Amino acid sequence: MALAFPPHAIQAILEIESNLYNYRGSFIPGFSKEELTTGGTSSFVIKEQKLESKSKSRYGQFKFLLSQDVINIDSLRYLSWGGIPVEQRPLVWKLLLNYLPKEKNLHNKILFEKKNQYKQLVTQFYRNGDLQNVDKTLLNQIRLDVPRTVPKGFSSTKLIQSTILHKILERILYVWSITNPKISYFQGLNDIPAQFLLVFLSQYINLYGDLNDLNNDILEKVEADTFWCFSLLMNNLKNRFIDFHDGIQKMSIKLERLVKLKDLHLSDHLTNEGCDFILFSIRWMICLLAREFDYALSTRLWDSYIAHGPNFGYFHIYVCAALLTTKEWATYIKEKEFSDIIVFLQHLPTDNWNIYHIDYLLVRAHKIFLLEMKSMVQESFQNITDQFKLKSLKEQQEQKELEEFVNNINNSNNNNNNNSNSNNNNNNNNNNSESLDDKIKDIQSQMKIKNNQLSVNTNDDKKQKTTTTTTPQPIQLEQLKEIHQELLVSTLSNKEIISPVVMEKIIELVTFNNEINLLNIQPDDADKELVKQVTTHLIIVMGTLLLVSVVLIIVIISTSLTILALQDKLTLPKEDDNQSDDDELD
Amino acid sequence: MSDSKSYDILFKIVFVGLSKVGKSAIVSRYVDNMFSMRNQTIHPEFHVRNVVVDNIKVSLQIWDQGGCDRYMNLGNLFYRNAKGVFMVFDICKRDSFEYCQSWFDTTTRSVNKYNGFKPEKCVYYLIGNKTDLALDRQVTIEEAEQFSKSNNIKYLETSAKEATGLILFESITRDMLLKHTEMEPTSSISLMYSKSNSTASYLSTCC
Repeated sequence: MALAFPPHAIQAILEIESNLYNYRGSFIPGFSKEELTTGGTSSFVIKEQKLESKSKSRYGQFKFLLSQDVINIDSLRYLSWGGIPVEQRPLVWKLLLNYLPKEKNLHNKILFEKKNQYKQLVTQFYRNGDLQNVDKTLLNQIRLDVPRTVPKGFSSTKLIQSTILHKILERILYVWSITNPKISYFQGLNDIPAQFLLVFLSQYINLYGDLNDLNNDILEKVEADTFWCFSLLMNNLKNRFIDFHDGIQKMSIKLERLVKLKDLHLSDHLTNEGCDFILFSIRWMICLLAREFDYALSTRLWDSYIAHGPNFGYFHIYVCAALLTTKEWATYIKEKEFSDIIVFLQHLPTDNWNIYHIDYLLVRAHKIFLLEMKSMVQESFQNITDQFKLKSLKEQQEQKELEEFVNNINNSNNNNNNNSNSNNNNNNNNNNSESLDDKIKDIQSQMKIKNNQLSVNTNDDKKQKTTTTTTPQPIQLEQLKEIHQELLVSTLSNKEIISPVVMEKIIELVTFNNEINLLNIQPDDADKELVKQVTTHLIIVMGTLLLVSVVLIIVIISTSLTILALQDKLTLPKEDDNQSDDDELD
Repeated sequence: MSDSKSYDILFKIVFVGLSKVGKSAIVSRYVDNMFSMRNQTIHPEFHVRNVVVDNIKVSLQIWDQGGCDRYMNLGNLFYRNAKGVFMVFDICKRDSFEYCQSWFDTTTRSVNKYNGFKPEKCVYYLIGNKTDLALDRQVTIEEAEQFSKSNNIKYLETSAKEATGLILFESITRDMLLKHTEMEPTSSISLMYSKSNSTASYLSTCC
């Protein structure tokens, strides 16, 4: 699904999660530390060795994939979601952003072409940065900000202070802003190309060492690569920055909703203290968390973003929600008041974080997504079932009224003697209709799936026909049945989340359904649309199941009746026989 | 929330001005006594400093806004309930001074746009920063003072780098307390302040 979590991401997350559980206790503060204390040092060492071999095998997998003449982008995407080895990161990022094609023999040609294209753009727009010929205010603003671009962990390195690097960033930002006038430059944007620049430079030099190895050829290549990859990445985020105010507002509202789902107490506390989400989340949204984590960790996080595909900006909000609801932080925040909270959130204590914290963060982001899915499924289910229930109840009531009417007529006609009785009957009937009204209200407020089955049962014939005709796509009935059952179980037993198995099946199903083109709708709407579709399918399935059961019952009844009739027939002759015997005896 | 009782009154101060004029530098010099080149501010950065002025414990909430225009659009949150405003400009940059002038005109004119941001409740200061670079001065003290006088606000010059002129925080706190006593003369803080103020003035005339 073109939603927050594409299938390959879910697959990767499940793998990360299982890995984390295997090594729990040693890295993740949220897990129990029992293993660490009881296991002693020896088991710890073994675990580390296991991990090393694990990463080695990952490295091998990458090496194998990249050695192919035609690179399998899908498997690369899946593998990269869980993190890319440092040496392969520059190439993989370029591949995943579609900057380089999967055919390896074309790489050099395209790199060369792109380099020249970029050079042309620079001469066309930047014009050696001469203030006479360019957008003065824009270039001045960029010139103010570029020297202030300090990725976390690089504050005193020669690299970040070098004027060569500043010039490169200045050109990239200026050319991009001129060629994308709808968004143009804003503060904080500089952090994004800076990240690419460092990653691509790491291919050639030691980022923390001196700059002797840098030569013009390398710099030109790196600059062009950075520009194009930065543009490609920004293409995915364009929508949210064109109307800056609106985009930021929407993102922070979404973030607030997700936090509310995960930790109601936390979001309540934040609102009570007057901490508007926008106050602390703008930086997270604009710099893609690059300012919150060390370079090594933010690039790891970006591995997942870039491997995620075009909707990663949407997924990013889930990561932010997971970050905010980090257990220890949430408990700290809940005890503090406004000033302390804001100061804390602006300087998140991520210094002691490692790669496993990032893995865990991604897993938690997925958990929040599942929570959201579950609540959406429930909501949608309720909406649809409420409609069914209401309709059926109304029909029932109408029937009741009709019966009453008929009864009344009968009563008045027949029971002239028992006037008092008929009055009583009337009263009772009135009571009945009142209680029905109450029932409707009850059902609107608390809806159970069992009731729903009943309601579908009452008017299954009509509904089923109409709904099946409106959905022309072939539906995989078997699969739907399974999903339906599992969903029922999970909603009834109030499990925390929908099991991943169910999720996968839903995803599989969606691929069958070509009717909705998910790419054309906003991810937010796509979610709702999907859930709606799935739930209507489920209800159709339930309807068919019930119809089948009704038919079965009818068949059973009719057969039993025929059996009874046959028995009667069989017994009757026997009596005759007896009688005849008697007759004979007589 | 025992912490909330550690001060008598809370004031919100906001910083405005073009980017790179040294808003964040002044704040970090005052709050952490540090001066460093740093990342540009993206969203309101937030600092707290508790001070005692005339025996009244004051908690200063210092909001440092990013200089980028787009962040100004998120202004209503930023300006809500502000009691003090520092308009900072770089004395070596003419346009940053002009920006302060135009900002003051437009903002005070469209006050009602922002909830609770009322000019008569607010204390404005005009701050000329970077006096350590006075050789490149493009804005003279006279014209800055002329602008501030005509708008009835105070003008001060600072250097975040050399840590001069940081009296401005204490000065604005006193002014805010005075405003507060004018606006709400019945509150306990006002009584405390007027009392301590009168004794102080009494002492000063005595000696």
